[in-house]
Amino acid sequence: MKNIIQSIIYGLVGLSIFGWFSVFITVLSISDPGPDSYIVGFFSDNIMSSERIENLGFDNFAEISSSFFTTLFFHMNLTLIIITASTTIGWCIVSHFLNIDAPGKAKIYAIHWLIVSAIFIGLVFGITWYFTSSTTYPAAEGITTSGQWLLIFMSLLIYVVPYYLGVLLGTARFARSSVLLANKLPGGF
Amino acid sequence: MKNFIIGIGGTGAKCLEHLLHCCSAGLGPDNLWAGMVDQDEANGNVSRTKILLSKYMNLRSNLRDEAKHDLSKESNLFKTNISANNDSVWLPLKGADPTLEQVINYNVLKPEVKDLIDCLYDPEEKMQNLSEGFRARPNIGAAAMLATTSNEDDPFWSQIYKAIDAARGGEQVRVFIISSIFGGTGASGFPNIARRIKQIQQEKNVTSNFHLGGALMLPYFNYEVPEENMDGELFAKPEEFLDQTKGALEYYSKLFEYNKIFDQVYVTGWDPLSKLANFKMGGNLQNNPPLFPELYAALGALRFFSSENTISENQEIFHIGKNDGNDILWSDIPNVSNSLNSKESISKLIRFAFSYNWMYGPALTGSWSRIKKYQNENWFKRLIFKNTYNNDTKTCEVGHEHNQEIILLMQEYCQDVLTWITDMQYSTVANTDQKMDLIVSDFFSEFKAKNVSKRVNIKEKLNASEKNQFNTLINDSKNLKLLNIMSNISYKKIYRDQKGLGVFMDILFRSCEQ
Repeated sequence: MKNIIQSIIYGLVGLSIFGWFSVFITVLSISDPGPDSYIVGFFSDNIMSSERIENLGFDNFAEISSSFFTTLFFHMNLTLIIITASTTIGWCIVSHFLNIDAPGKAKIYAIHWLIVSAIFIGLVFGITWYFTSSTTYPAAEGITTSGQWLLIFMSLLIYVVPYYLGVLLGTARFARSSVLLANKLPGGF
Repeated sequence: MKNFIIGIGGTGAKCLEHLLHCCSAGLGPDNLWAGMVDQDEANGNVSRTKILLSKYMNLRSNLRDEAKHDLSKESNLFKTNISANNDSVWLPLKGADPTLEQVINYNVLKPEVKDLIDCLYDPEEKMQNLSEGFRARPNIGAAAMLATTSNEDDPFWSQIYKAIDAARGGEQVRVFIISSIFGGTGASGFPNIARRIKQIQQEKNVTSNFHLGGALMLPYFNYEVPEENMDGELFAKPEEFLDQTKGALEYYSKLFEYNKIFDQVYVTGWDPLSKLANFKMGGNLQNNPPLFPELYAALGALRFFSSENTISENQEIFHIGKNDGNDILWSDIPNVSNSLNSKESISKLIRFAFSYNWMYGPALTGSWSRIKKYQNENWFKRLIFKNTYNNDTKTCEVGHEHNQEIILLMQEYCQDVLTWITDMQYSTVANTDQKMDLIVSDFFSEFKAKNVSKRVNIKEKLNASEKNQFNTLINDSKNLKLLNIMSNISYKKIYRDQKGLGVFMDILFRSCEQ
């Protein structure tokens, strides 16, 4: 149990190295960044289509930014944070129970890790896709196709990197050969 | 505190075998001098213990070397510093094929003394070749023992003299003798050697700090003697064991009543007797299996040496036995002291032997080109690579000859442990109603009672399903799996003074407990 708790702590440390940024933007979105903020400008220039916004009956993105960030963007990031944290911590815990009972056997479980990672990446992709194309959120209709792909790319970057760092540090010591480059960590860590 | 143990005869040697394994498991005292007494030097039981003793000392000296490989002072693996004479077996009668007649110079005796000898010994007893022991004739053994020198120049007796001198110098000294009460060498050696030790103590005027203990094995096994080709042969007859024991107990009862020879005596017996499949008169073919009651004698000795054992002024006689039922369980094994749990230590050693023999030993055997495939694994990096890395040559030296010697010697020892426990479990209860349930061994070994030279055959390789049965190896509730061992070795703390292969060996040993 002590080793599992240690793994969870290391996993959380790994997550937080870059994961703080996703928490930051989530907190920022629920607190409504305001029409003049940098993030609203960025979304207006790169994600949203002014034509589609006008079709929705608004002059520009700033008018619907509050609704976009406090609902769609917040819900999407919160879901992704929960999925990322639970997948990372879940792997850290499960790695202690992988049946690695002989020298050299950990490598076999690289397949398991790849499957878990692929499912996770798929989930991040799917969740971002779902929120950015959902009719539940009217503001989603203002997102351009290239904007949608940019958001998916950013989600993958913001959530997969912390996940990888989390499992890199949090995987059970004896299971490290199953995670890409984790076996390069010092033995005593 | 200095400790000395003397195993007399075949039984004494077998009890020492148990004691050595217990010392490997950490149940022994800090230091111990071990010696054996047997006229039958080639005896299979004695040879087996002699080899085991030298293996123990060799492994320990290699793994307790502060410069190269150190298990650490805190480690219980091979805790006891056991020493022995160059030849650990003392032959009471030296010379080629002596007979009793030659030993007592029968031909030059006065006629009246000759007549007395003729009354005490049959003609065949006088002419019996004694190079293969006293053949269950304590009367021969007693005469032979008394005829031998026991002076300070003899390497065996010099140790006793040193022990008594150490006691006179203020150091606590404990000497323990183990033998059977029946048979030849043991029955004759036990009282005679004990009395001689006591005599030396009195001669040196040592009245304190010196304690003598002993374990007497009452009959605990028998065997069937083949009828062919036995005419005129002298050999141990199992049907005489009980009568011999009765006589011996009467003798000891009187001895103990009038003379305090021993401080503590441990008496062990077994009912029903274990039935050995093969009978051999002596020599290297007499290779009897380790039996459970001998473990009691060994644990008695370790209890005697324990620092928690306070020895009173009065002579104490302890009896030990298992539960009333026919099942022999872990709970029948007594603890050495409050702080030394026999069951936990022995089961840890067995688990260590299994995991080393089939999992880690093979992974560490061979040249670096073969071993290096594990170099990125945590256990290897943390316990092996770092500790066998040579900064000058910038190489990991685990595959070097001197390291490989230790790795292979440990594997051999682990096979000895597995053979010992398996043989004991099967042989103690074979052909009786008893059942021994200490370990499950059928998945890693084969037992052939009739094959004296190799009763237990340890499988060279195990398949995955056999390895998976590791959690059932010890009959306890721990359910320790190989996965848990792998996990434990990656997390157990490395002691500061550990070095070289000592790091891995101790961590693996400690990882074998829950």
